[in-house]
Amino acid sequence: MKIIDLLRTANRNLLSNKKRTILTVIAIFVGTFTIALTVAINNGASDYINEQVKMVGDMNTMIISPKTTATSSEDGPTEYVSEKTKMGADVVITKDNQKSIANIKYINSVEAVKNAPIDYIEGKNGKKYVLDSGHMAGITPLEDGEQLDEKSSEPQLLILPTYVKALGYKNNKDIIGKNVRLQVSSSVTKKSQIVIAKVMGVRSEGIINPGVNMCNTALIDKAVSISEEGLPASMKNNTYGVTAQMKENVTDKQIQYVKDKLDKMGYEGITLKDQVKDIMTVLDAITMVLMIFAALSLFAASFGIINTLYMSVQDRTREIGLMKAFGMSKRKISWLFSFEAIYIGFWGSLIGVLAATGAGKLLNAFSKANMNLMSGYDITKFSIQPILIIMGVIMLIAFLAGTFPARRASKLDPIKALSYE
Amino acid sequence: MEVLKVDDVLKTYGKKESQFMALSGINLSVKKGESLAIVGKSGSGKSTLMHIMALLDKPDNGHIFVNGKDVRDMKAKDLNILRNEKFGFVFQQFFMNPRETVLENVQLPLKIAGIGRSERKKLAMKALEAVDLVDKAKNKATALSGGQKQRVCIARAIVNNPEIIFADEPTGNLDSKTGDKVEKLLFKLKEEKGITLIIVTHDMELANKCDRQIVIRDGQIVMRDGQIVNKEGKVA
Repeated sequence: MKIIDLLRTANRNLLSNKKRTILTVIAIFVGTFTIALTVAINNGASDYINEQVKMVGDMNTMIISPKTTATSSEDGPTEYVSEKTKMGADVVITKDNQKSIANIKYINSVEAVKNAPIDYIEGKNGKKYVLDSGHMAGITPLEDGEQLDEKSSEPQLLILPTYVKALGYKNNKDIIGKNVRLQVSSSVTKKSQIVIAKVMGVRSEGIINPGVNMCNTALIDKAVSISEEGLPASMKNNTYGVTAQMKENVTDKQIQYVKDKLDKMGYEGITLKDQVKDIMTVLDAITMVLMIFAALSLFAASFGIINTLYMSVQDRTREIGLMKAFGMSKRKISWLFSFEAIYIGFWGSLIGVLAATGAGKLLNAFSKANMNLMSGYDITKFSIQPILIIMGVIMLIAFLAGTFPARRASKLDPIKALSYE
Repeated sequence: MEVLKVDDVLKTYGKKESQFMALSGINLSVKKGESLAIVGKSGSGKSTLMHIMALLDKPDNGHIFVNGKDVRDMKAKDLNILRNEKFGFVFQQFFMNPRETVLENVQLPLKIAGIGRSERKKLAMKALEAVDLVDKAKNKATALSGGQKQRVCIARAIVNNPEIIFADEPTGNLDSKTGDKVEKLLFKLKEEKGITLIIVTHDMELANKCDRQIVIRDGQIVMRDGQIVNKEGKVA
């Protein structure tokens, strides 16, 4: 029999018992849907992370902070050794420390991470809000507007999206270019001053420095000098951490060298890659668990295929006997049932993938409207290649499930089959 | 011309103590274009003999020659092709696919042979013409009377232009009037197309309409063309 006739016959056989076929297809559909959606969420999330990282651009930035001694570990509390144990007030990086860090091979420059001691921010509507802000080297991903000008003497600010409406502005475009009032006070003298800063842009919420409104150098220096008024000199310009810019195209080996050097000096260095790696590990772990569940459901579904086709073989025993009498080979009879199995896999996976794409669109719309975390990004991402791979694998599984009934059919003795009741 | 020869065929079922001899010492020669009736009671071995002659089963001993060629060592694939091209089958229980139309049912041997769609349809229509059922071509196979169903089966049996038609109790499920009609059709086609007809039946009337008859009892031929024969096949 020609292949096309085998395909047509297989198709007709499936259609002739619609209920049975549909139920079997549904089982495959459930497994496919889960897998496709899981893969899409994984792709969407990793895409988002990679985009964020790409925007920030520099894989050669390292965040350095003093190593804090763990207070206890599995073996019990840590012994106090006066020189080595650093807690609390000792845990700063002084200007001299910063110089020695900058001297480490492969490090080009070092910049202090400063927290801006801003009491509140006030905008158009006169309402005052607490402002969590800071200064860090590197580019912050934006929703709207421009990046900060670090060389300018004008104090500038990148603001979080939630502040836009709260401060009384209609939308992002409304606040860009406007001035806001910031109050800074000295921790010692308790005197406060107002600093005027221009909002250059609205930053997007995300995994890079989340929750922090960004100040340019001019703003942070002004704020810090106001807040440090009255402090003894030894306590001025201390920082809890620094960002170090490493040389261009720094290799992993070189990064490890720097980390080891810092460790000896009592510091800990983390690259952007390290931060992202942690997130990706969690993401992958979640994905893996979901995929295992989906695989289990597909496994169960394949039993559905086996069962359906065994029943089919039994129902059509006489038909098979007749075909054999008329000269149909064992192999083609086996292929007939294998094609039916593959069809079931095809339809189940196709519908599953389409439904997952639809569900993904809904999820994207929902997350855009409700979740601030990934502002401007899709939580699910579908692309042709993974979809085709998923469908291919499922059709293969269906085919494999069908081999048992297919073999049974091919081995039927034509005489016995014809006299089957 | 000898189209089929059965040479000293033996067929047993079961093992050792419970071994049962379905056929023993069968010798038979069938000429092209003749009609042969294999007669016997239920369990006599007549169906077994037909199955072996139709290459649906293999004898435990002995040879089968089709057009002078020993089929004993033929590969399964070649046997399939041989059956598909040279044989046609008519069964007592019809065996039609109820979900398909009459025309589609008739096409089955051609489909198996790998013949294309339009060619198949043409040949099938010709076969339906020969059995006078062209008007039922598009009907579902189930919506026919017993006699019509059997005529469709005959059409299916001749659609591939076979050399031999094997008919197993072709009128068994039909009333006598319809049975007569079907019998007449079979013999007419045999004459027109020169097909060899091998009919298994327990109906002596039908058997006597054939050119030759053999009677089987307990797995052995006991009568040939009206004459009693002994174990060696010689006239007693």
